[in-house]
Formats: sequence, C-alpha cells, structure tokens
Amino acid sequence: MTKKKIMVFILILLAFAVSFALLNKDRIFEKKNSDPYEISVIYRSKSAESSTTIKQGIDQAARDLNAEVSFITLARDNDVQEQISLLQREIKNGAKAIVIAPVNSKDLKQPISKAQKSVPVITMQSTVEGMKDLPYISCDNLQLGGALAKAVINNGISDNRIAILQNSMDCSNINQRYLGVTRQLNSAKSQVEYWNIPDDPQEAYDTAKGLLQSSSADTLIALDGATLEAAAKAERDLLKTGSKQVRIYGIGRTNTVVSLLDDRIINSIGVENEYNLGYLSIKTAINHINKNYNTANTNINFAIIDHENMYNSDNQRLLFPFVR
Amino acid sequence: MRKRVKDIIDKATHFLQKRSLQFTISITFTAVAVVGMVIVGASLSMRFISSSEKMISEDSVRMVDQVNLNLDTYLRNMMRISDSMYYRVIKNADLSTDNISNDMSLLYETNRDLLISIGVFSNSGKVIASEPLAQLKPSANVNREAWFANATRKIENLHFSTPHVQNLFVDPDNKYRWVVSLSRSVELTNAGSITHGVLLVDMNFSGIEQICKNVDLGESGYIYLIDGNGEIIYHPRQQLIYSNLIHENNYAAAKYDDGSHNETFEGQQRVITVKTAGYTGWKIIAVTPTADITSTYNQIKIFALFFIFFAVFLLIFVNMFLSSRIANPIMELEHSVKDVETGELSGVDISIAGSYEVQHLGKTIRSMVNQMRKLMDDIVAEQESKRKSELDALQSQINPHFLYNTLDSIVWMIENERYEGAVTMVTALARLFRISLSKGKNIITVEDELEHVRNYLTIQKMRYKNKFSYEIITEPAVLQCATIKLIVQPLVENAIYHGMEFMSGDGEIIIKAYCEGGDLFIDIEDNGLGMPQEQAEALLTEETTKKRSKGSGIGLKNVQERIQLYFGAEYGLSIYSEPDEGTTARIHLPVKTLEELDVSKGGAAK
Repeated sequence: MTKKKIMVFILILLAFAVSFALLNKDRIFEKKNSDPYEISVIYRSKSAESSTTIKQGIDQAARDLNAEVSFITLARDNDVQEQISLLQREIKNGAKAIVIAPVNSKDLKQPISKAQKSVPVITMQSTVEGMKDLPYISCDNLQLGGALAKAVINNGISDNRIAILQNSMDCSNINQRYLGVTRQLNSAKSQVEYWNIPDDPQEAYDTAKGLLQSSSADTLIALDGATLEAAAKAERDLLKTGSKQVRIYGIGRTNTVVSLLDDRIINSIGVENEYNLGYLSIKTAINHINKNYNTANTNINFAIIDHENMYNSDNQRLLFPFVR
Repeated sequence: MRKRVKDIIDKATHFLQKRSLQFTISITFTAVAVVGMVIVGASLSMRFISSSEKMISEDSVRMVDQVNLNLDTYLRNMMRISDSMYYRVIKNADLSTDNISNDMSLLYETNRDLLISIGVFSNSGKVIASEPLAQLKPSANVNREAWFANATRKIENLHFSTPHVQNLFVDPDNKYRWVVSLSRSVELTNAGSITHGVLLVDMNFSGIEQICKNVDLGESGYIYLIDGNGEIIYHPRQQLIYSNLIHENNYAAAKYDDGSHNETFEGQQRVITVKTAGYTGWKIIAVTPTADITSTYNQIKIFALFFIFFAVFLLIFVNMFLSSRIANPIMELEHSVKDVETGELSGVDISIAGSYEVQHLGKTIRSMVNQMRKLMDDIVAEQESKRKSELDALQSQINPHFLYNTLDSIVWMIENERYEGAVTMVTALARLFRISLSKGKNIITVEDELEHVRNYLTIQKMRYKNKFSYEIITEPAVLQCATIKLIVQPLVENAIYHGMEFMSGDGEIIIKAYCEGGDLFIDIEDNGLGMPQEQAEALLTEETTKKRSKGSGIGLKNVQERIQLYFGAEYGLSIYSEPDEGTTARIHLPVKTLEELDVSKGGAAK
C-alpha cells in the first residue's frame, strides 16, 4: 500500500462522510419544507355565513396542500380602507401569499400592485380591473348574469317591469353580472328600473320593502347574496300582509336564500361553486409561492337553480355542502 | 448456451492469466464479495418489501374490517330503531284511537344523537306522525321521493338510501341536513282495518363520516364508501369529487370483489381493499397509494445503497491491501528469479518476505542459487586450472628441432674436438632443463627465468655462430619478483627465428627487466626485420593457426593467456614493432614475491 493509495483511501472516505452528511441534510431540508404555507384570505364582507362554503374549500385545500390559512372578514361590508389596511397588516405579519376579494378596482389597484412586489396576490370572486398579471379565481360572471337573465326571460316577462337591485357596483364581479343581465334584457327589450340597495342588512331590508311597496315592478333581479336575501325577506314579509307576489331572481347563496327558494319566494338563483372557489384560490396561491405561474385564470362552474331542480343530486351538492 | 458460458469463462481465465497475481486476487475477491453482498442485500430488501407490503395490506384489511364493524353497528342501530318503532309502537297501536306521537318522541329522544327525524307516512304520502318536526313543507312531495317509492315497491325489504338532503319538514332554523334514510313498508291498523304505510328513519350522515374519517391508512391512504352502483356515499374529499377537482375510481371499484386489488388510477398505482357491508350492499374501499408503501422504504433503500457502496469501497481497499500483502513478496521473489534467469548469479539477493510458505520458497530458492553459484564457481575454477595445466604442459614442451639441433651441434663440436664449446653447450642445456622443470613449479623468480633464457641464448648463439649478440639488463630489485616460468623463452625464440635468422649479422637481442609504476616489465627487443604495428597487434588477438616449421610451436597468444590466467586481464603481453627497425615484446606483470603470490593465490600458483 503506497502513500498515494492511502491518500486516495482517505479522500474517498471523506467523500463518503460528506455525502452521508448531505443525505442527512436533505432530511433537515425536508423538515423545513414541511413548514406550512402561511396564507391570508381577506374577504369582502363581514358575514361569515355567506362565506361558509368558500371557507370549507379553503380549509380542505389547507389540509391537502399543507397551508395555514387565516380567514379575515371585514368589520363592515365593503369597507375599502379596512381592506387596504388588512392587506398591509397581513403582509407585515409575514403572510407568504394573499388571497383577496377586492371591494373595488379603483381603490385597491395601487395597494395590490404594491403588495404584489413582496408576495403573490390572488384575487377571488372579484378582481381589480386593468391588472393583467393578477391571478383571478372566479366563475364567468358575465355568463352567470346572462344565464340568470335568460331564466327570467324564459319565465315570460314580455309585459312585465323588471327591477335590478344595485349594490356594490364597483365590485368587478357584480359589475360583470350586471352587464350580463342587462345585455340579455336589452335584447329582450324589457322595461328595466334600478333600485339602489345599501350595504347594511337591516337598511337593505327596509329599502327593499319600501321599494316593493312603492314600485310597480313585478320581477326583481338581485346581483349578490346579501341583496337577494334582503329583498326576498321583505317580499316574504309583505306576502304575509297580502301583497301581490313578485318574482325574485338573484345570484348568491345563503341558508336563508336557499330556504326562501324552497319556499318559492325566490324563483331562481344563480350559484357559483364556492367550494371550488375557495379550494382553487389557495391552490393557486401555493403554486405562486412555489413560483409555478402556469395556472391560468381559473373559471369556476355555476348553475341556475330553481325550486324544481334544487334537490337533484348535482344541485343539492352545490347548494348544501357537507357541514363537517 | 453452455458453449457461450464456457466461452465467457475461457475469456475471463485468459484475461486473468495475463494479469498480475495481485490484480487477480483483488478483482476475484471483490467480485465475489460484491455479488454476495448484492444477493444478500437484494434478498433482504425483497423480503423487507414483501413483508411491509403484506403488513400494509393486512393493515388495510384490518381497517376495513373495523370500519365494516362500525358501519354494521350504525346500520343495526338504524334497523333497531326502525324495528322498535314498528314492532313496539306501530303494530300495537290502532291509529283511530291511539296517538303514536308520544312513543315516537320517546324513541327519538333516546336516539337523538344518531337521528335527524322519524316519520310514519300513509300510503298516499300523508304524515301520520313525525319527530322532531311535524309540519311537512308545502312543496314536499313524499310520493315522489325515492325512499318512499322503494318501500312501497318492495314491501318486504328494508331500504337504505344514499346520502341526500332532508327536505320534508319545515325547519324554522332553515337547516338542511344530509341524512341516510332507512325506509320500510309497515302495516297500519286503523279502526281494525289494515293499510300499508311507510316508516322513515333518517340518520345523521355525520355518523357515517365519523366511522370513516378517523381511519389511519398511512400518509395518504383513505377509506371511502360506495353503494352497489358505485355512487359515492362517503369520501374524505367528497366535495372535491362533487366539484370535479379530483376524481375517484368508484365506478370501477363497484365491480371489484371483496379482497385486495392493485389498480392504476390517473397514473397512480394503488392497492385497493374492498369489503362489502351487510344489509346494504355498500362497499367499503380502502385506498393505499403504492408510493406510500415505497416511500417508507425509499429512505432505507438510499441508506442501504449508500452502505453497500461504502462496504464495496472498503472491501476493494481491504482486498487491495491483502492481495498486495500476499502478492508483493511473490512478485519480489519473481523479480529475483528473473535476475537469476539472466545468469547474473553473483549480485542476486533473493528476497525472503511474506507468509511462511513464500518465505520458505524464498529460502529454498536462495539456497539453490547459492548452490548453483558455488557449482558454477567450481566449474570455472576447474576449467581455469585445466586450461593452466594444458598451457603449462604445452609450454613445457621443448621444440624437438631445438633439442635435435643442439645435440647435433654438440656432436659436431665433439667430433671436431671443440670440447670446451661442447661442455659449455651441454652445461647450458642441462641448466635449461633444470629451470624448465623447476621441481614442477609454474611460478619462479625473474632471476631463474632470465637464467633460463640466458642458457637458451648461449646455446642458440653457439648454434647460429654468433650471428647475433644479446644482452640481459636487469634491475636488481626485480630479480626476486615472481614470474610464470617459460614466458620469456618463447619470445626470445621468436626474436631469433623471425628477427635474426634472415639477418646477415649484427643481430642484437636485448632483454630488460625493470620496475615501472609499481609493475614489473620484461622487454625483449630485437633489431630484426620488424613488421607493421597492426600485424604486431594481430599476433595477440588472432588465433594463430599457421603451422610453423620452427620455434617451440607455442605462440605469443599462449604466453598472453597464461599471464592473464595467473594475474588477471590487466596484465599480459604487448608487441611494438616497426618494419626494418625491430620488434619489442613487453611482458607486463605485477610486482610480487613468490611468498606474496603464495599467500594471495593460495595453492593456485603451485
């Protein structure tokens, strides 16, 4: 055994030791990788009930994809300033990604583009218009509005007056739904009036009730769940007093809305797959954290459900998520 | 095939034959060890894999059995409630007089954790009694419900529904619950007449969820539940499947028999364990992705590979070390033997190292070489002495012509009454012979040798009638030095025959003995015809084959050879000649006394 051979022996032994250490290091890295992704979801309204299904999707995604999600609702519906300050606070608190349902495009554009510089920002339900590279998870709201309007037309509206209930029109998804609805109604040459409904549920209920009593409209179209619920509740209460029944159509799902649909107060509702919405927004956020930008803007499925088909197997899955 | 194997073995043998012993040992040891290690490692890992697969599949079976047991309990509970309601309440009551609501309420309260609702319906779908809610929704159409239709179609059976939303009763809380319905046809007694109705027991779906949810089937294994048609009843990610975000192989699984199956679904290999639950025909499916099983031993595999490599590496080194320990002494021995092969025996040192056997071999070869060396030395010495004897014998021969001529001369002198000359000649001849013999010694003093030459010259001078003169000049110091006998006389003889014979007179021979540079020189100079220097030098190197008519018959080469045999190659004879000038033959010897020569040469000089 020459000295050279012994040197080679020691060198190879060292190489083995180093590779062994590397092997162990890999395990340490794996452990690091198993730290959950911290993601903050900032919602648009204060109601926890309207977001139950979304939250279920989010929770499932968090379980499946190893994320730690903090779900934040606003103290007041559609409060822009609060949403901006929450966005900034969450980034400051070290969120690895933000999923947000922007209240409107105008005020959120600047804070979101600023936030994008530090963490991935994903929008769900509504988005900020004019920001091309902003990932957006939602159903096609234009089509959803159009489909709802078609359901209205199919029920026969030739000589009826239609009222469109307006609330949060700054919000991109509601605006799109509105465009979808009006496009269809314009082509059907219907008479349309517009009711402005405030954010607060009680005020909304009162306003709707007042307008129902004063207006001659016999078909209502609500563009979001809260407005739909307020209007339907007002209609239900008015029916008890013997008022003439108006037909109510709307988009959005709350337990009350579903029961009002079941009670035939509401004629049809458009429902997007909120569970998917929640799941896919978290999935997209994690993809972006991992620098995987291949996921294009995702379209969520939706359905127009009326009293007749609400209990068929597909629709009951959409309307009544399993409560875990 | 056999030929092929033989070919490969032959090739390997041929290859190894060309390699060194160390290479052969280390490569064979390493190959055998690696093959052994790989076989042991592979069989161990296969055992490990098969046993862990078996363990996992047994685990799955155990889990499925456990779930089946729990599901059985759940379904039995439903049936028990249904049975209690039917046999204890409905059978015993006449609806025209008895109110079954209280008993039903009691039953509901007892089992309210499991139940969502109980209801008894008439054949036309009207509510007879129900708990906890009593008011049917205006929109409810009992007749069109699947559970109702099934119960009235097959009145002898119990019918379990797949999960659905309970939508019969008005709930002030607007709650919609997922339930599993058990419906059966019942006989209702109303004022003595018996009609058919339907008993419905709605159990909370979360009961099923509880049964299946907390089953631990490894990292990503899970259990799901399907009905006989493959429709999902429970799945841990049911909503995702309903939302089309993920897919399940439930329709294919519905066709599986009970037991374990391997399937590939969406590119993922998985082990499926199926068990059909009693009463319902539902199937419990346990899914364990094969990756889960393999991932548990992938780490072990990596470590095993690492250690195998490490062990192979160590083995190679140990083998190299061992083989060098075995082979190096043999190689050294081989080198020594190679030296012996070249015939160089004197400088060879046979190495003795390594294991006992090799050492023994070395020792044997060493003693053999020594023996050989000794034998060869002996042979050389023998040959030398033989040669010396031959040369000495040759030298000792007296030219018969010389003797005859001398004796003839003596006779002639006596006849002419020149007694004095005859006496001188006979005396010289006698002395010549006495020194020639020198008691058989080969080494004599320079004095004796010169005396011998003087006698010879005396005789020759008389015979040649003073055709030449001679002179012997000696340094007194050299007289007692040793010389080989009869080396000067042949040279003088040559000088006379080849130098003097053809001269008209005035021939002169001078013999000088002197010391120079620590050596002894004896020059024999003549002024005869001489020859070119090249020819003179050739006399010493070429075999003298020419037969000469005169002279003693022994050449210069003989003298040269004798000197070198006795004193070594550095001594000997040299001839310097020039045509018409004369020739000088110079004998070069070491300065040594007879005693010194005796001591240094031992008996060789005797």
